[in-house]
Amino acid sequence: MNVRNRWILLLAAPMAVALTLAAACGGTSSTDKTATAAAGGAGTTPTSTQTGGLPADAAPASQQKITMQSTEPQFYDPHRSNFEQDIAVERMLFRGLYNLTDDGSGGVKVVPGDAAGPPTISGNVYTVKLKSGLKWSDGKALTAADYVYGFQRECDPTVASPYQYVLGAGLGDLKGCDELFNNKDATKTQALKDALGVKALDASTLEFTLNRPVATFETIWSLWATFPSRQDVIQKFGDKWTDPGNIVVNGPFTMSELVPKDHVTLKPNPEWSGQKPAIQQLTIKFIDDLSAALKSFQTGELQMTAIQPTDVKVVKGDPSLSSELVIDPTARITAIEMQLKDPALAKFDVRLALSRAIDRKTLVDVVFDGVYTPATYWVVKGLKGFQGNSAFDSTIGFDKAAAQAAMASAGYPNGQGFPTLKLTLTDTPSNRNLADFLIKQWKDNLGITVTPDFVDGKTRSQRFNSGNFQLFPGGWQLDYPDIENPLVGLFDTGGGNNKYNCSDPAIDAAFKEATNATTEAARIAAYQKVETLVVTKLCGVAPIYQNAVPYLVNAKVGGVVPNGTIDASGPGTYCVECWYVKK
Amino acid sequence: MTGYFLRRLLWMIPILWLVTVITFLLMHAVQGGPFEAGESKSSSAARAALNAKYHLDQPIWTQYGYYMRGLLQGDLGPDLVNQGSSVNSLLKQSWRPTAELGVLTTIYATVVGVVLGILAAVKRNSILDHLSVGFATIGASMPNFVLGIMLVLLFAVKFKIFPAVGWSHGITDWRPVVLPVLALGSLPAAYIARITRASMLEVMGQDYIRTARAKGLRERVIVMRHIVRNALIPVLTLIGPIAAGLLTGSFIIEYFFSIPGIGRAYVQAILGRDYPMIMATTLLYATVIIVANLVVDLMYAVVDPRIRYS
Repeated sequence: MNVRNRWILLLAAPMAVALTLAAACGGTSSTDKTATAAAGGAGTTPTSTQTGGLPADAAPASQQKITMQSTEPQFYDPHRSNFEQDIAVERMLFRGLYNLTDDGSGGVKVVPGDAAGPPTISGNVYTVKLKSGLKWSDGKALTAADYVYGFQRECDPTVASPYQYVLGAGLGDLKGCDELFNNKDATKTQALKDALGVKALDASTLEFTLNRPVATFETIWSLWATFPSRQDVIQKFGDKWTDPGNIVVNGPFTMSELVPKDHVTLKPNPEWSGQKPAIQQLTIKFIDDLSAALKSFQTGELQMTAIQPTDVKVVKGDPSLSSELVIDPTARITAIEMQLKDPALAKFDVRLALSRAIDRKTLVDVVFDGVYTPATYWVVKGLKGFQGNSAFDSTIGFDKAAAQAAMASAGYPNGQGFPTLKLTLTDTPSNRNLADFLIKQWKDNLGITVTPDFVDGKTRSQRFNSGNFQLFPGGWQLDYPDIENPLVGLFDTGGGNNKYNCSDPAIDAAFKEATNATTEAARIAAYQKVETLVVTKLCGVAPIYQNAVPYLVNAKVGGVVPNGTIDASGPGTYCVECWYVKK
Repeated sequence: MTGYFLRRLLWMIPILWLVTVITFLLMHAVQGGPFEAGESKSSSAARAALNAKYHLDQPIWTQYGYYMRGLLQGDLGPDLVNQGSSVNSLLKQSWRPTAELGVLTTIYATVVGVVLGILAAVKRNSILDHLSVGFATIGASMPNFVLGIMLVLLFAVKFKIFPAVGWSHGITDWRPVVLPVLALGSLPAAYIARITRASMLEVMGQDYIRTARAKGLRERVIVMRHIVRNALIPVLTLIGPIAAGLLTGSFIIEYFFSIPGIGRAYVQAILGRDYPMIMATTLLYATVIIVANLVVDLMYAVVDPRIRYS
């Protein structure tokens, strides 16, 4: 090989690679082909009549396209989902017997979805009639059997639904669900499925047998965990049943394209019998970096995006962006979670001192630019039974003198002799600010030393779930909007999510009172009593603020109904069919 | 040469096996598993069911045995974060953006770096030289994510010429490619420019160049035929490791620009304790680096006939 040929070879090699890649880029990718087939397979392009009833200020159908930001969902299968971004998309694709919607006053109300109306109740037996004319996106009739199969999946240990517990003891209390889920003997599976408390009496009638009357039946039966499933589709495609082209849905939208790690595109479901969506194409871009998403919103690529609380000040200072800012209070309380097995934290006076030493208003203003709401309450604003700061400020709220007195009463005057505690947090910029603030407050106000322990999310979860922590800024995001949700299982002795080791006979008695309540008012009052006892005894939690999520919504997007106290990802995602693009 | 090449290829087997052992042990030594959810929203029963499903309740060497058995059959395992998908299919989807970004950036860095280096050397102490050296200094001292932010603010937010995030899904849609390539490629371009300039200046001082000038050859012929050709030999040997670095080192740029490539998937896999995906991407990167080093070694023999491997 002469020198000239060597040079040609050296130049040709990278060019060949580049040309190969260019050729790969040039054609329609395999994903694109699948997407095209899926779009065709889904049926028809919705006609203008299907999208009738548009608001007067709506743009023509051809302009009804929105691109929004989200974290990538793990699943599009409602019976395997755990995260709000999954659930938000699933509510666009599927619907259940009941729906949650804004009640117009910051709260949420339950309305019938596929159910024709409220259940008929006879003791522990709840009978639900389905609406007539319900169909899946492939045109097949949706029947009660599809719901039965959905519940069987939810309670099936091989599906391993992370939210099975909402149908388990103390919450949904569906007969036989826990028994099936905890079964390890494959020979008994079918018998346990047959014994599950859900039956299709006919094609449009469902009968649920519960272990006890459940006051929150309609609310829990609105959750994604109770959505119907198509047995034939799941059996045919296995784990691939949610791929575009395979997936069959019963919600307002259907999936037309999915490019993992990049985006999912939804189109209206022509067989959806509810309010016809105005939006003809909804693209959800998977963007984890909210700073990048903000810039993408500014360029006009995104019409909706979440932003970081620390960016709110910048957005408010921008005359154009500030008018597009939406701050949705989320159904989440953040608290200093405390391990009561720890010898120091086992003392009530220590916990009281730690709580009363935190100036929550300054914390929220300094660390979160006033986006969050200072809180000493645990049951979030918007829920029936909300008690608010006024009920707890005087007991556990900021009061330096009271904090110091409590510390002295615990045997540590001016913090003398107090052991060093560890504050475990996920390593994020805002958590570093939070840790700095809290540690300084405890040092300045109590004279004690707390050290930060920054870990990644999975390590933090592992430590929390195993009870291996002392102080832990965490909290509870509502799964469903009812006062029982942030209480049951968290503070009752032996509760599945009671990682604090809270055990108090008075709290257990109040739980019993709530379970045995015969009226809604008595039930709410009993849970208020639970909250009062938990907060005033600081039985594992010292609430510090209620979270909020700031969003940017393009001024051209209308119909974004507040989610209220719903576990949601994105503004107004619970009524995606309400969205439209303005002229 | 062939024997040397085959020996190097065979050495890959024990090296990659060691990579699997070390990675497997390290990732299992870190606290938290793939099914540790948020704040205990999933029940312990659900976590136990999932751990059993994916053999994560077995002793670590049994798990390693399951993994190696699959690996030897070409099965990289299930994707634990996006259950239902396989790591094979995820890599199949993710390799292209990463490879495109790596190759385009390598081409950009090489062309810009070499051209600037040559111009700076030929027009030494001119304004062009100062500009070239200035570019090289800025490029070498600025982290790529800082440059990325500046490029996005200027060309996406201010002038709206290029999109702020995303990646091209066809050759006709070239605009999303520009900013990530500029952000990722400026550091290696600056590096190549500096090496090219220094190498050019060294060659320009050689006796044979003076001889060429004495023979009365035209300046363009001297530069292109005698100076550039000889000055680029050390530069060429750098391109291999730079290309390997660009193909494997774009985690931050992929995350920042939301490019659906392997780098972003790798970061997400580590944060999500997606063990099979961590193993697969580590093995892939190890293979790319080993192959790139082999190619560089072979290139030495191609560009310098004095080097022979036996």
